[in-house]
Amino acid sequence: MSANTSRKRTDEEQSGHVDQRASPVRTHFGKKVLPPIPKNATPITKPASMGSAAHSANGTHASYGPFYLEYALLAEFTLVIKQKLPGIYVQPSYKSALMWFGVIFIRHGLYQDGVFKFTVYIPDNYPDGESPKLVFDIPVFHPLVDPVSGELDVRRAFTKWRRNHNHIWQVLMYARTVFYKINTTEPLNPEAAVLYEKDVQLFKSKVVESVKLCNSHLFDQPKIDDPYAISFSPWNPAVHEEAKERMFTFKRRPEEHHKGTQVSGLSWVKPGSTQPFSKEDSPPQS
Amino acid sequence: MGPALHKSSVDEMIASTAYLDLFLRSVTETSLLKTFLRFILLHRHDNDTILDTLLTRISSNSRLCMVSLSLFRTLLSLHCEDIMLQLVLRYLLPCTHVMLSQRRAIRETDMYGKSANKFLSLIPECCRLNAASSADRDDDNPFWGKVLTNPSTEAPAPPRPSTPSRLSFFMWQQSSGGGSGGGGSSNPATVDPPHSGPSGPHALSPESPMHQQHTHTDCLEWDAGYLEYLKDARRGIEHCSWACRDWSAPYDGENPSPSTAPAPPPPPTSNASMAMFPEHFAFQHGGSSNTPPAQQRAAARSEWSSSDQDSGEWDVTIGKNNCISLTPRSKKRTLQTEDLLPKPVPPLVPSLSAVSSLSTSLSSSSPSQHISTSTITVSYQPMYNGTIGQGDGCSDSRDRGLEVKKVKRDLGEQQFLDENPNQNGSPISYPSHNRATAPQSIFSNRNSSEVKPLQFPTQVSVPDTKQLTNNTSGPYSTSSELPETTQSQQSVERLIEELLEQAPDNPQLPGDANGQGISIEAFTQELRELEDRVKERSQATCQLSAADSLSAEQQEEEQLSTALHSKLAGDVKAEESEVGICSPARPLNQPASQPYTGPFMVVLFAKLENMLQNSLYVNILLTGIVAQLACYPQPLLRSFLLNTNMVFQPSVKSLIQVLGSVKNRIEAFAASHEDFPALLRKAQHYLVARGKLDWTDIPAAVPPLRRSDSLVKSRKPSLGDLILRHTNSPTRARHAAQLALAHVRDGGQSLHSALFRGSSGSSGLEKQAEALRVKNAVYCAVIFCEFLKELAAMAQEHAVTLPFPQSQKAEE
Repeated sequence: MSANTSRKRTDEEQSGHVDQRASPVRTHFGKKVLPPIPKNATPITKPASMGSAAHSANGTHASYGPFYLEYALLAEFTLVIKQKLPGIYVQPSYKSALMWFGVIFIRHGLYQDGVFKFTVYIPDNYPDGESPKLVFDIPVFHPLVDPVSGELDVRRAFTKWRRNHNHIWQVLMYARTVFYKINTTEPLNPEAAVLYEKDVQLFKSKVVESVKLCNSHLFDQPKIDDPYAISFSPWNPAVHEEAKERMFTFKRRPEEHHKGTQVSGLSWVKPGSTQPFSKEDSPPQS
Repeated sequence: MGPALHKSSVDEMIASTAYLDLFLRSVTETSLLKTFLRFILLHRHDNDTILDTLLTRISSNSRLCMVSLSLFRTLLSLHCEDIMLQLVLRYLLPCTHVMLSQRRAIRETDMYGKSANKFLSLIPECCRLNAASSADRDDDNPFWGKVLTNPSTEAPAPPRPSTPSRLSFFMWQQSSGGGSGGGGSSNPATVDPPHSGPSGPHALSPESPMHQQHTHTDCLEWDAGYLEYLKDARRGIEHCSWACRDWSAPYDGENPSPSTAPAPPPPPTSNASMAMFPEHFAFQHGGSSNTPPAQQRAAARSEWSSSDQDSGEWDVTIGKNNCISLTPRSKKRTLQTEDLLPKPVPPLVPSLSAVSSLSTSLSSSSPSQHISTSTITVSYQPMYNGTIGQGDGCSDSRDRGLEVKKVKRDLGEQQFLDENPNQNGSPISYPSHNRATAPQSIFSNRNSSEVKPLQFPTQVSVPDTKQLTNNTSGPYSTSSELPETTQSQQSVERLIEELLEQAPDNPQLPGDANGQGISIEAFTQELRELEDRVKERSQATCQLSAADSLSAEQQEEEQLSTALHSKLAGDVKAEESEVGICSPARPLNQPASQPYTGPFMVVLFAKLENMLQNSLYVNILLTGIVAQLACYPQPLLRSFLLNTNMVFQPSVKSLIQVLGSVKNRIEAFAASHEDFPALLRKAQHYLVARGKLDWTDIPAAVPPLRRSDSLVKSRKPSLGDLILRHTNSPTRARHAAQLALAHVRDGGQSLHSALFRGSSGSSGLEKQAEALRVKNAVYCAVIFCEFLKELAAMAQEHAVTLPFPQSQKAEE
């Protein structure tokens, strides 16, 4: 039922991807904020979504509890957006805000050109529980990635998840760093660890293989069937050019742009000053 | 415009304030607007900026207060950096209101809903029960819970969608630049998003799952309104942060840097604030022990200047009180005052240190009083000085002497001052509430009474040098000075008499020259009598003017608060005497450089704390303004209002403290009224009906001024907003009031009729006053709960709002 959307999503992602390849990395950095936004707006879904509504009918009548979890996660996601993490995109799943789909682009180093899809699982007692889990769709050959499950060893970086101090963007950041700075202590993948220390050449070639493997599955259907799952498709100018265009020209505005607003945003304060009407010259824009 | 705003009669002040408001709202040319704003912020009239004058009026009687509040609402809605800087931000910039260790937290948002939870937890138990229980037994009830928030109740309420998937709704909403807004609720049947996200790259299909889920979610009873509040908060915050995107600085506690920020309250402002809010400074006692010497020096300096200013103020006050009779004289007096100014200053500086040491011991001995009961304790301290503490009392009673006469005079002129006697003197009165907020007392009176604790200025204005020395020594040499002070009291008497002689006609004058000032007992006795007389009189006038609906309502309010105050007086007494022991030193100790959040916040909080006695309209305006302030994304402001975990300096009252005290009062009220739940429900019904009626009839007729007409139509605050729109212009305010009264007369479901039906049969104005008091309190309870939800929603929304990038000039 969600194939339709997934396809769209695919296009979107691919456009980002291709764009990233084609143009200097920098330009992409500059626009980092944008991708998550169109992504969210994309879903044009016609699923019988009521199914998901079922399990929450435990209606805590006078409780706002659900709002808090929801907003905590929403706030986390907002933080992710604000961080502008280089080469990382995430998007919460349609079915559960506790599951986020993501993809990470590695731009240089041993894992250069790697495009790794992953899923973040957030404990439902967040933020009081353990650290979130991060699982790669395809187990990457890496000392800290479980060769079977594909799970990244997040725990070592966040031994205890502390609300207010630990945030999900840090997990994502950690997932990125791992590919640039390789750590072999207490590995989840001992083979990779040993190779890295004993035979870097072999390790490198294994990594290249692994990267190739991952990239060859790039266009596969997402492992988890979800309207918001991230998937890729080959570049199709008819579809992607326009999307790309929109991404670059997108300007966020408040929702209601009524007539009364034109006088808002007044300021005659000179930057660095705290005196009213200290900015004399330039005519204020309205 | 300046002189017009300073017209002597209240009606003229109201009119000119309303006109100023109207100007501001209709000006579209930016440079013209700039001129207006510059005038308001910087222009000085009689030493005060227009802004300060306007600020003092918020605490005045209800009509002047209402126009002033709506003017400020207009000012806030401009999202102008200069205004916000002058009103609030400059006081917050140095970050002295925050504990040093907490400065980092300024930028934190309410990630996990803790603050929101705190706000919601303040919803009084009595109101929760009402919501829940009435849902069970009253068919009609969902009306309140649902219709109010969402007309889509007709759809069978499906189970609540999963939390997680609702998240995606928000995601979507966010991404498309705020989502569908009120659309979801306004056309529920079609579940049709009103627009397809102008910003989003893909049009949203109506089938968007989040959308469906969203509309269904609303159908829950208790927290039904909450989602609406969240949406509204999001809209408000986004709009606000968009409007503020070109401000010169983020105001996040680092930029502008707290260290380079200029000393926040320039004299005129501190003057205004001190004149108006002695309780604020009284409260600062607790914190004064940790004041660094440098600050104390600064304090002394600013006290100097503020006393200077205050004397001016005092004079002005007299001028206003006697506005009709004594206007020419006030000018002369001002001059005299200025001449005398240098003299009181020298004794002032030593006294400050003495006092601060005193207050140190004070704060250590009774910290709990200062903190836990802060809001109440503090506010009646000044009063206490005048009433029970003997030595100290004399200086105060001099003031009272002045004020008593003023009261009488005012009685001749304005009938609705009846609560003044309470406020100003008799020991049985209930000073704290009056003083803290006294919404209905007339501006000038309030002003004068507030000046009172600042004894120097008051005395300075007395053109008698001998007396002056007496006075300056009086407050801190307490009991030993009794003969002398009596003497000085008498000389004040003389002055008063002199003043009174100048007054052409004083209908109420007879007999007030005797008996006061000779002994405190006699004095209070007379005050009691006076109080009774005032009460009688106002009741009589209330009856008389019942035809004039608006003023009648106002007088009812007055009466109401009078009744309340005298009723409460007994309760407070005990506490009062407790506090009184340490209070004598208080009037002197007013370090102005204590962390201070500015007159605007202080007056708003004071007013807010008195919610229970405010009329519905005042409360709606008031909560509207605070909510609007809470929309501002600047971390300094946001953390001050919405971060409930923040630890402020003990001298700084936080919003949550204020709300906590309101909550306690509501609960106390509910406990004393058995029929509270029923009344509450009626009030809710009435307001909903009001809202519906207004939304169907009026928006068409009234062209929107500069505010969005498309606020969520069905939720309560929109009702508030609606009424706001009415009150924004006096004529419309009147219209709204008449509308409301029409409702009353129509009877039906209105609370008024319900209340008055009972009382009209039995004899009595007393009962009517009581009914009004109940009415205000019940409405307040309703508004209060909704306000808390609104604040909670804002706290949450701030955490998930993305800032807007600065606009490039080109694209704007």
